[in-house]
Amino acid sequence: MASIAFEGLTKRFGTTDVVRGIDLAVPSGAFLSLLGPSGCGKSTLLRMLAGLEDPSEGRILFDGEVVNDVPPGRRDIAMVFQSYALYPHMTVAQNIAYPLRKRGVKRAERDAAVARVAAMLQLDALLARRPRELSGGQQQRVALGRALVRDPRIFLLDEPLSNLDATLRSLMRSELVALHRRIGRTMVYVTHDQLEAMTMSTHVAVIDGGVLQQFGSPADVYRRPANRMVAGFIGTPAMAFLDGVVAAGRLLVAGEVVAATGAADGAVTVGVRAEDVTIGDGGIAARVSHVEAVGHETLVTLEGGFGRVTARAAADCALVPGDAAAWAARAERLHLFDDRSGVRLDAPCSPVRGPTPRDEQHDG
Amino acid sequence: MMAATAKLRGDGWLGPLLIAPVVVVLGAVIGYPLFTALALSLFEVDTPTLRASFAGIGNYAELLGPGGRFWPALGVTLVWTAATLALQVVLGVAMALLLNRDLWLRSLARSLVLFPYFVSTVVAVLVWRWLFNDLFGLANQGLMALGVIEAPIDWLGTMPNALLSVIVVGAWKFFPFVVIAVLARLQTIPESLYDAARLDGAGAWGRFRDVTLPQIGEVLGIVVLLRAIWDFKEFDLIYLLTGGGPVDATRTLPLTVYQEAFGLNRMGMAAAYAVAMMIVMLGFFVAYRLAVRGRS
Amino acid sequence: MKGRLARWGWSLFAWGLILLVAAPLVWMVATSLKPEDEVFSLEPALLPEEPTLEHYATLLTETGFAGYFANSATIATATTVVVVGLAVLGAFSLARFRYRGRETIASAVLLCYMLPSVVLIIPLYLMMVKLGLANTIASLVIAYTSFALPYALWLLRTFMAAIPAEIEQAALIDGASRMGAFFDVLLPQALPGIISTALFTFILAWNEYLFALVLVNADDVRPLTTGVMTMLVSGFNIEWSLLMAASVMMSVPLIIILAFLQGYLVKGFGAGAVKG
Repeated sequence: MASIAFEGLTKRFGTTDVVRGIDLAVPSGAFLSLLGPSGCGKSTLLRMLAGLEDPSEGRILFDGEVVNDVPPGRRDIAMVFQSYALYPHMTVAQNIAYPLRKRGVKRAERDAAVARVAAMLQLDALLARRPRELSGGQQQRVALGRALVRDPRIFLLDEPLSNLDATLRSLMRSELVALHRRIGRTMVYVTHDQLEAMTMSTHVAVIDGGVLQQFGSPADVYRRPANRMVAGFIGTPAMAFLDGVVAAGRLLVAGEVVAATGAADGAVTVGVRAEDVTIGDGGIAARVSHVEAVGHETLVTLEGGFGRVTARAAADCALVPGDAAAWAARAERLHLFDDRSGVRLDAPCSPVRGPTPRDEQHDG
Repeated sequence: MMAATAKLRGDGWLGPLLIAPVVVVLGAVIGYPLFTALALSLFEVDTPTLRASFAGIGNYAELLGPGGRFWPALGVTLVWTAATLALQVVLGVAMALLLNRDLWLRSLARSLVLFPYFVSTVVAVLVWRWLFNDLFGLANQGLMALGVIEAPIDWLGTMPNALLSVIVVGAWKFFPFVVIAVLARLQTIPESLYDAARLDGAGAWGRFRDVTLPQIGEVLGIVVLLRAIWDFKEFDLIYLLTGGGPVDATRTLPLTVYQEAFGLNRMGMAAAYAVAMMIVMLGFFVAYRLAVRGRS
Repeated sequence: MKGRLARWGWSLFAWGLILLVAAPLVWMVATSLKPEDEVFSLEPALLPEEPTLEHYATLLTETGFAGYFANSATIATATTVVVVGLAVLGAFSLARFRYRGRETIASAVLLCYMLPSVVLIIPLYLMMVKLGLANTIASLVIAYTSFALPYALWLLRTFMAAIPAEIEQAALIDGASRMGAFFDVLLPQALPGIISTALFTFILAWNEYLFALVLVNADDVRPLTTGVMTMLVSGFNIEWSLLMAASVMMSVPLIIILAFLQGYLVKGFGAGAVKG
């Protein structure tokens, strides 16, 4: 088991920074997901952890010890590659035994370890096969077995589920979580799938453009996204962003007051999640542009002068495109971002308990 | 390419160390000789005695001058290269299209087609010289039996027969290269492209022109360049078939180099011809690099 | 019905063309099996009427052919071992390491691969004379590396570059050293490419003519190519049947390779020649 820390980690290929000054630390036993769109630098980060790439700047520490100069074989890590990277000319048993063989473990001991891992991953019947004779899911389990057999202090997983079909993926997801719970080792998991990151991790690092956007628990990044990138990347359907204005403690969208807020006056970007939108009689007028029945619920997309929001509605929702509708959002769940930098504005929103604008006009 | 080459700490010396023997050997058998050739080209050297006297650019002046044979030899080389290459491409593409279809005994067919390419030039030339034999050769006997010709033809000793014969034999020997390269590409064209073309109403010719040709175009470009380089420097085939004759009618640049060095015993002059020839080839090389780079 | 007829017609047409291409080779074999009076006949038959192996017997007992064959086998084998040994390590370096000058070396190798042998022949001849290696088998092996090594290196580099690097990286993480990963993982993966390269190198060396012509003029070290040509020149009248028998015998290694290892040759084409 080991804690992991990055200090100012930077990787440059030629003149482009693939990873830029990343600082973060996770405790021993954590399940850290490196989450971001493809090409964001998360895989490079993992490869630096593995020792397959040299950092251009910065340090990597395992248990407080700098490992920059330790070759991959001596970092006491195991890695599962996206392509599985099984040794094609070796049998399943030989594949799993390879890390032990390279460490001079005796034959009998090796066989016992392979048998133990094979039983755990239900690979017993496949030990004599070669990788190309296995299905994708089986190959995936062999790759996992090769990582598990040695009981390393850190597991690195590079999008290990991305080549599996949907059913198998969700099965492996829960198996990985169970595995993590059982062996308690530190795991670093690279993925572009926010659902995987949210459901499996104890810690999530959202990366974009080589820069760490947010680091926290899955609940943190979902409830309090640090900026528009994180907010838009996490959650399905994606968060809607609307232009808003703050004036005298009130947040206005398309001229309607939607919340009271402590934010300073001026233009803001308002983020709204689908589950926080209710379609009803009152609120902002809109037209239904799109209805997507997904079975247990219906996603309704509304358009109007404010822009576009999506709402989660009941499965039996009868709206059809073209219908007029009005929507409102739960004020305390609105997210405010700086309209230029996209950074989260840490001012809470709350339901308006005062006169509505119309009332104000009356009063004035 | 980036991902394929992971540099790892502590083994910075390993990569260079592994290539070092190659560099040393190539330096000895190519680098040093190349340098020697450059130096030799500035001397007059008598081959048997190796007596040398400095000539400056005299050799070059002579070979490029009015009495020199560089320009005529370059002309012969270009005619040979262009003609044999054109035949190779036409024959090669046609054969590749044939072999790409279902065929009885396809593996045997492929072996037979490949054979000329891999067989020793000595064997190829012996067989063809036997075929071209004036009295008993199959070529003359066959054509006379068919009534095409009345008297035996001297295939290798007169012009333009000699040049034509060399070109044809060259095409026969080297076209399999085009076949295999094109065939490999043809087999990667997805069947769905042809289905789509068929749905769009394309006939056999239309499918060839609009699907096959664009798909093999790139490969064909590279193949043509490579073969152009190899045909340009071909020595064995021409030397063994005609020896450069009649007179100098089939004497390409490589044959001229050989003749200067070991026939006329002018080693310095031979080196000058070799260097001049290399400069021409450098043009081909640059074209090849650009073509390959343009592809990736 | 019409479709099947068309297919038959097509196959017949294709085979007609293939046989036309192969005709000189068929004629070579046929001539080698004909008695002398059938060879020099003004109305030759395609197939020998009374096939005979007498020319093969003559070739092996009364000419230097067996000796030439042995020399060629030695030279081609030695060249293959030396060249493939050097090229496997060199290609590993070019395909899997990053260091200054790597691209320059790769370009130089390609340039060497396209260099005409006639340019090198004069200096190499002088070099062999100076080293006292003229007229030795070693001189040919050394000279043959000049074209075989760049070729093998280029071919192997392409083969190795096509093997995913992740598999080696997995081995590194599993505790292997760079060379350990090379032997345990890359080498077994590259084996088909290495076999293909070895076959190409062997055939190149077996068929080489120019260097043998210039560097060797003693009958006891002459390889097949120049040896058989001396048989052509030295005879008072040319014994074509004997020469055809020699041609067939000389092609035996190639026939074996084409019959049993054709796939490797085809693979080599795809990799080295056409890809950059």
